[in-house]
Amino acid sequence: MPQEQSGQKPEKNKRVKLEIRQVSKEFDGFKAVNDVSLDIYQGEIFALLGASGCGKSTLLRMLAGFESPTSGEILLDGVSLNGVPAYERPINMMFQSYALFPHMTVEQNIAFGLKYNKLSKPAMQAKIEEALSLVQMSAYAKRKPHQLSGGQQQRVALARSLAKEPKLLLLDEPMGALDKKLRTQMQLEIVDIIEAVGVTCVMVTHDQEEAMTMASRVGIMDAGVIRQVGAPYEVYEQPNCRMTAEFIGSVNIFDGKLTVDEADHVEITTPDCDKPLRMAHGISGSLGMDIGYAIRPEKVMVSRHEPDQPHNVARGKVMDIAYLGSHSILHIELPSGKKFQASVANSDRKVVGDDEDRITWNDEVYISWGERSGVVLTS
Amino acid sequence: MKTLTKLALAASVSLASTMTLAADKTLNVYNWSDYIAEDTLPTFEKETGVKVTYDVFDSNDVLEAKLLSGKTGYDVVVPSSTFLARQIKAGVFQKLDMSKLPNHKNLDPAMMAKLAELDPGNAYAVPYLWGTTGIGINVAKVKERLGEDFPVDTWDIVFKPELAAKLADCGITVLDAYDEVVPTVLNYIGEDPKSQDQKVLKKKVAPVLDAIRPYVRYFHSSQYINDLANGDVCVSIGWSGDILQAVDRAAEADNGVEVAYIIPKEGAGLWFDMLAIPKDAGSVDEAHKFLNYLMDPKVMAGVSNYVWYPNAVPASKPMIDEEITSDPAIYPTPEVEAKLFTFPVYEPKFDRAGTRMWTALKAGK
Amino acid sequence: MANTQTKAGWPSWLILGLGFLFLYLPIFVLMFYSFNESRLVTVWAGFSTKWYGELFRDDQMMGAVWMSLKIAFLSATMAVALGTMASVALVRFGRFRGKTVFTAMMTAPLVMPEVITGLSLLLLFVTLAQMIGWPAERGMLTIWIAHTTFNMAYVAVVVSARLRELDKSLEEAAMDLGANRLAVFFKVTLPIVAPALFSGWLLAFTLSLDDLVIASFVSGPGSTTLPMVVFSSVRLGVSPKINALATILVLSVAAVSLLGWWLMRRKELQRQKEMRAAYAS
Repeated sequence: MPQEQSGQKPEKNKRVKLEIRQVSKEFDGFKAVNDVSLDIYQGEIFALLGASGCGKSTLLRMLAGFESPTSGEILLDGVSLNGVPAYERPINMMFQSYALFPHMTVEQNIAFGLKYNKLSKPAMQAKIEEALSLVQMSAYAKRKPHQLSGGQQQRVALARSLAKEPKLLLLDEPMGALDKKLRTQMQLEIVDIIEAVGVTCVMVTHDQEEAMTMASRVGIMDAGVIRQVGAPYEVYEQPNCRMTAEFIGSVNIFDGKLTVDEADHVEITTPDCDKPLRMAHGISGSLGMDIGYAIRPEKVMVSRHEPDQPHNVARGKVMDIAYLGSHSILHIELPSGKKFQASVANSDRKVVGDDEDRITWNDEVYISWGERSGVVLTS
Repeated sequence: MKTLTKLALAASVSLASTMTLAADKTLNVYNWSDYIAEDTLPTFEKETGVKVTYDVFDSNDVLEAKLLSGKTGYDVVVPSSTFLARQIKAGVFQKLDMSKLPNHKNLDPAMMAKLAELDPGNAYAVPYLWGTTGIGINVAKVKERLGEDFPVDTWDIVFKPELAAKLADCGITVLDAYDEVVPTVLNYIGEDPKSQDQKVLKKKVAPVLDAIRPYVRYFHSSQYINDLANGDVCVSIGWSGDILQAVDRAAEADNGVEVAYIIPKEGAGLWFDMLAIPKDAGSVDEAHKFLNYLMDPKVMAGVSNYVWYPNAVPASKPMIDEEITSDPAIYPTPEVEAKLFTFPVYEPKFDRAGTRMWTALKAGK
Repeated sequence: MANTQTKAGWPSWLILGLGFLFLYLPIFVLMFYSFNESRLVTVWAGFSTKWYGELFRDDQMMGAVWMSLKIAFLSATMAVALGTMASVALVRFGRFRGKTVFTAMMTAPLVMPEVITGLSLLLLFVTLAQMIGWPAERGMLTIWIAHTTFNMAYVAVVVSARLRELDKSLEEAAMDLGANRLAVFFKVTLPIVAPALFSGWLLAFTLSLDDLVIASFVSGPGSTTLPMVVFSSVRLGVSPKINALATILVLSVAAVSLLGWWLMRRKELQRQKEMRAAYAS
């Protein structure tokens, strides 16, 4: 299993809330979810991140009870959920489309779920008011969903799911229906609310930025399998496989062979660079094995003159420049034909190592980076 | 408790009584809409105490489909004569009990003789109203083309190519019913209208029709009513009832079109709407009572006065409005009446040949 | 800028006018001539309400109108109940064996010639009567059943179209919040697709009122519907009573739609008032 245990270290003392044990789901012979095991801790916000079709939604729907696993088991507080229908699970979900009932007012929408909790009328009214004030929608209690803006609808949807005080809150692409500007604002707002309530939360998203902003831990899913679990910075800085590295942010990957394997450093030789690639820590590998080396664009220096270092240097030609305001992305072609991306901060609208003229199209440049900047990918 | 039992008892008794009443004293009649005088049914109900339910159909085909599938629920039905002949063969009707039909003697013997060809021995049905298959013309336009004094009371104006050619521009139409047109042609050329000889059909009938085919605007069985009344066509082979409707419409519209119905002197086809009792009728006695009632001269005079169709009870004629009886288009003169013929029911073999010939004719414009 | 957008030029008005003229002129002509003294439709002979009088005196026709309305009401209601169930089964129950066949069979009555439908139902009723003694007599009940069968198909088409575009997550949300399948259907699905049910009902009602062929085949004693009377009377010429009847029908339909519009408008105004109140608070 490629699942790394590194992400679990900080949560070592936390209580496991939800346990997913070797769960698989097949649709007509197609394995949408393939033998997934995962622990979710009390009070955390966990994001399942992956491209569409990776199986993350199916996994979420199995948690909600809309699909049942082909094999495996899901336990909430140590109790198996297998065979428990959606309407009997202490789990609530906020849908991507919010799924507010159009024929009911905001108040009625929230009351809908509470009716099944067998509360007295005053108690129910109190819960409704509490839920609405939590999301600051008290003034809109009598409105119909179509009279609300997208952000307001989302708050109502959240209030509706939280009003039932679920043991687990599920968010399905929570920002999928909002425009970009509102998204950033709502992401923080929702995290605040969820943390205030203290509910354990599993969300599904294809947007890495969203996952990184909202979640305390992230699980990268691909082809029905969880590739890596960890805090946002971990999966970004220490991707454990090619897929994760490529999925999160941009990355340049060199394919090469392990030529030096010492306890405190390793070197990789690749046909794309004249000089070897060096990393300042040891890995568990054998000499001569095929290996990948990943380096993020923002960790790269670009200069006109060859830097004086024995490794982690490559030569190339600027093919394209994408100006993005705060920084620019240089598309550089190496002699081997490999495309390489380098991010350059536009701090003084000039380029490092060159006082007068900026690097421009067709310039011959050198790219270099430190021996702690890259990551070795063994799979 | 007591009142409840009483109520239940009262309910069951009343239910039972209505049921027996319903079983004994109802009659279900299936006829065309408005095809009976307004007071015919109320008077019958008053005289006999039988409650009549009068339902209507809109085509002989619907009636036939119901009769053939059985259990119609009706006690008296009114099919047209050619349909009746087929239906008798299919065995859907019961034989009439003549002892319950004393008025049967009122029927016109000449007509009954003709009807016996369709209903052997007049055993299954009695005639209700009848009509002919003749020609409707636009008087002014036909005169304009054939001359003021041209005698139009002849099939020549349709079947003689040189006359048809003159009339072609103002529109000739033919009924889309080969089983009526073929006997009409046979009668016109002096053959037996009931002939089922395929050779005669091929050698004698087809040439007549082929010769006039170029001058026929269309073959249709109802469109001509409006077209005649509006002056869009000027000569139509059609049914008396329909063409008389066109006459009325044209007259009332006051649009300068004068339509006339002609029973040609060579003779014309005769059709009847017949009264018959389905085999599985529930109220057979009442049905006979009703049939007998509909052969009463006074009753039939009332019906003819209302619907303007001739009936088969001669004794009713004096009581029918002069306006109706004196119209040779409705009541033909005795000479013409003698030349009227009923349409035969074709054998399957001849039917196939006839249909083929007809299809070829219609297609070969 | 806004002006050019809202102001339609005269050609648009002309086309709109012609369109409406085409749709409504025949109806107005018909209504106009229902007050004609003359028996003939095309000649004006002075104002008169005599055809209305004649219509109400005509027991056959009034009986047929009443019969048609009863059958239309009953079969539309039944068709909505059954058609909705069928749509839910076809749209919501996921994939099951023979679903495609069922879907095709559901819509087959739409394209089946009426004569075939009518005749086959007639044969069915006759066979049933022979085998199990029911229906002992054909009549209103058999027409009701027959109309329900083909109306059901229309209702199913209308309702499944709506169901298909209904966001499935609404139903899942309801289930997520604690409602079982039955509660989901009655509290969420049904209220949301109610407009489709209503238009399906109206469509079924109209089709039933309109049907001649199928009703003719399966009718029995004492169950003559309006179209049968109208078409049967063609043989002896249509009376202006039909115009009077049509006028009454058109006016009733107009009155009902107007009432519906007024109620909806009142509700909308109420809602807007509430909205303003919500903003103010």
